[in-house]
Amino acid sequence: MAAEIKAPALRPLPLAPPLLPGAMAGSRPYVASDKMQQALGFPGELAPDWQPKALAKMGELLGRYRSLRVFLDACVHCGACADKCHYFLGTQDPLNMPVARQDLMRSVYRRHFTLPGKLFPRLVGARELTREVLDQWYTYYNQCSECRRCSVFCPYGIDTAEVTMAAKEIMDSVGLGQKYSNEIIAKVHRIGNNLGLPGPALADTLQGLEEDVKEETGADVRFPLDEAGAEVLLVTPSADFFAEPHVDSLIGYAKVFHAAGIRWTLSSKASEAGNFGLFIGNYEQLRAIALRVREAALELGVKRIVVGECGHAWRVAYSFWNTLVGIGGGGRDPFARQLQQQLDPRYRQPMHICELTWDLIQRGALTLDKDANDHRIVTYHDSCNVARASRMGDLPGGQFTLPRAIIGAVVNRYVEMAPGTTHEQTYCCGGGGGLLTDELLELRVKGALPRMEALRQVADQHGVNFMATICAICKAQFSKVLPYYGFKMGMVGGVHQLVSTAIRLHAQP
Amino acid sequence: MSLASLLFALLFYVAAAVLVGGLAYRIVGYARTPAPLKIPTTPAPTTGGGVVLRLAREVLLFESLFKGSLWLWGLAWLFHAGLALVLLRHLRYFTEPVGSWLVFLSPFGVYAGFAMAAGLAGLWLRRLWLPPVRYISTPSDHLLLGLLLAIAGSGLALKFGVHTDVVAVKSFFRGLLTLAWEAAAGRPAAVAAPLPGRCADDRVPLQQAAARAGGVLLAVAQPGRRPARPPPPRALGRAPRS
Ligand code: HEM
Ligand code: SF4
Ligand code: SF4
Repeated sequence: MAAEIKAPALRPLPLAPPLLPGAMAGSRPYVASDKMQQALGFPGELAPDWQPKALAKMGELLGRYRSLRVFLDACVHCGACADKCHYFLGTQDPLNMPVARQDLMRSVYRRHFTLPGKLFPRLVGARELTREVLDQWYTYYNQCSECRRCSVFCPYGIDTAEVTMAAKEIMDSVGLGQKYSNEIIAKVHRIGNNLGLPGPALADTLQGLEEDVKEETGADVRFPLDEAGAEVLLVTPSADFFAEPHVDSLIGYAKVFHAAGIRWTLSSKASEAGNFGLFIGNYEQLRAIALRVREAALELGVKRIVVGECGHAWRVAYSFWNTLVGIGGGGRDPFARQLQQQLDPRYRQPMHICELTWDLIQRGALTLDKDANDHRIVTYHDSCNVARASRMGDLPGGQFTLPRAIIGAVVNRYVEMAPGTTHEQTYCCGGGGGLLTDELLELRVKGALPRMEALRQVADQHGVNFMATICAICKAQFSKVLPYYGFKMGMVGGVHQLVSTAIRLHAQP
Repeated sequence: MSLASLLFALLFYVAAAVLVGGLAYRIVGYARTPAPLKIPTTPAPTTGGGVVLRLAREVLLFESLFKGSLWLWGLAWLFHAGLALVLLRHLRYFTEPVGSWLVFLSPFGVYAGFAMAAGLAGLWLRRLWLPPVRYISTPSDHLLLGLLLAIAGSGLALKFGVHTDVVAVKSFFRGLLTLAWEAAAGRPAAVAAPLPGRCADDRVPLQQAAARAGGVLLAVAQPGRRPARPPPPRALGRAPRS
């Protein structure tokens, strides 16, 4: 990254920009080292026979995931998705149009797996899987945050994220892994969390937080670690333990548990809600990482599992934990059954921290002082994985209404960003899907463009000075890119950060 | 039976077999492929009834496309609705007796021919005009649109230009369908010629598109995971083949 990174100019009208072919051809994340690859059971580097292996893997995935097969067949090249991707809008590189991104794999699929592609490759745009094509895969599948925005507008519901995940899985299987994601997965297995924070350091940090909160509020709010017999196991992204502004939300959860008198605990074994196995599309990793949570829950004997503010973690928990490891019913091995016996069936399993807090607010169990947030004019950024890949509460669309309902209960001044940029059509922060790494900063800055445009509008018209969100990646990404667009980095924070400011703690009886 | 008639008859059977067989092959293939992870597309309904309703809206009204691009939605809908009506109207040449609903629909079928052609022309212009869509188009995308436009055009020409002996056409097809070869044999092949030829053309785009539609059904026919009331009995995912 030699040249200085500059934010693109905001568009006067939200129209598709002109194409700049090759604009992002040089943006690639570092390749994982051979050691790192082997730690995850992948080949260390590209072997001479990588091509047949990659094709075999592709055939395997086509037989394993119905979605991939349907998506590669179904597209009519209508282009409805073309201008829906924040990375295309921000970079203008045509290969960042979702359909073009899919076509990087579809062309290979047609050449090697379909009759027309074998007979008339030129006619149907079929291409041999060459080294150049593989390099294009590595470049442009690492410019997709798997946010699923494109799928909302496609007449066939084609989800480019699925294709990206399959591409990453194929590349890993021939030794072309991405350093950032694979390093993090190795750390989860070795140490227990993405940030590599070992148990003793975690205990220290939590003790420090207890002291801080005591000083601030006078209440003995606890941050328990590995306490067997607690009612709730909280699984939260490890950034919550020390990154700004994440930690303020952790304090918020602790205050909520304290005020409601719920005994809770964190686990040093499962001190990470994030699951990068999803990002690299690897089922075995996805499951192995999720299994840590089950083991921790069994060891600690908890009755409920609650997930903190993390977008993709909630997607994995809500949509996949059931069949992956049996949290919430579904798994059929002995441990899954044991866990289902153990967990309290009167509650949702797993439960999002927003569901928990909202239930308490509705029951009148929390004392909230909205005025305490009067220095803030708040807007809410829907995070992709919560908005487009999960749900909350009993009603359809609960993933949109619950966080907003909580905000409504703790702040007086709230403004919605423009329609078409929120709810199911929300724009990605630009850092999801395993792209939150420094060497991709140019991509991240440019990809934030559509969200920054919407934020600029409410900031100018309504004086918005705080953007709340419930995703650790969104928080980290915005902290980094907000300054490029002339905003303060402290403008982003968690929903439970707002709760933390408003909540009034009584002395416990 | 003349050689030409025999050729057209064969073409008709081959086209029909490829259409039906190919479609069945694809759909069975999809149905056999497992889906170990539940991945509904937002906004996912939470009940079986909701799934059916959403599916109907997507297939009949192209709801997602409506949100995606109004122009594209208008043109695509014009074309598909036209195509559907035209196909229904063509049943007249195959069924005996002709149902009263079909008699009712038939006059609309004529307008539908124009709607279909107009929709196709619009889609093609759009594909040639807009840089992003031009960028992603393969030659086959243009070919399919051209082929369909030619089919629609020749159909309209038969209706309004070169007149056809519809009675003869009908008995030709009835003959093919009921496997009563003599009936088909006696008819003047020249009259029937354009039609079976066009059936053969139809098969590629139609089979592809219909298979796609089948794919959509399988892709979006998944409820969101959590039913409306706790405690949630879960949809069980099939374990992946390892
Ligand atoms: C869920 C239902 C369907 C949806 C949402 C849908 C949508 C679309 C769209 C958006 C196009 C765009 C073409 C362009 O921009 O060039 C298209 C093309 C086409 N569709 Fe459909 N379609 C559906 C079902 C069907 C069915 C059932 C058929 C035939 C029986 C069909 C036949 C075609 C044909 C022949 C084309 C043009 C050729 C091509 O571009 O592949 N479609 N469709
Ligand atoms: S999933 Fe998101 S990042 Fe990926 S192509 Fe679609 S819109 Fe772009
Ligand atoms: S909207 Fe869907 S069908 Fe249309 S080009 Fe994009 S992926 Fe293909």
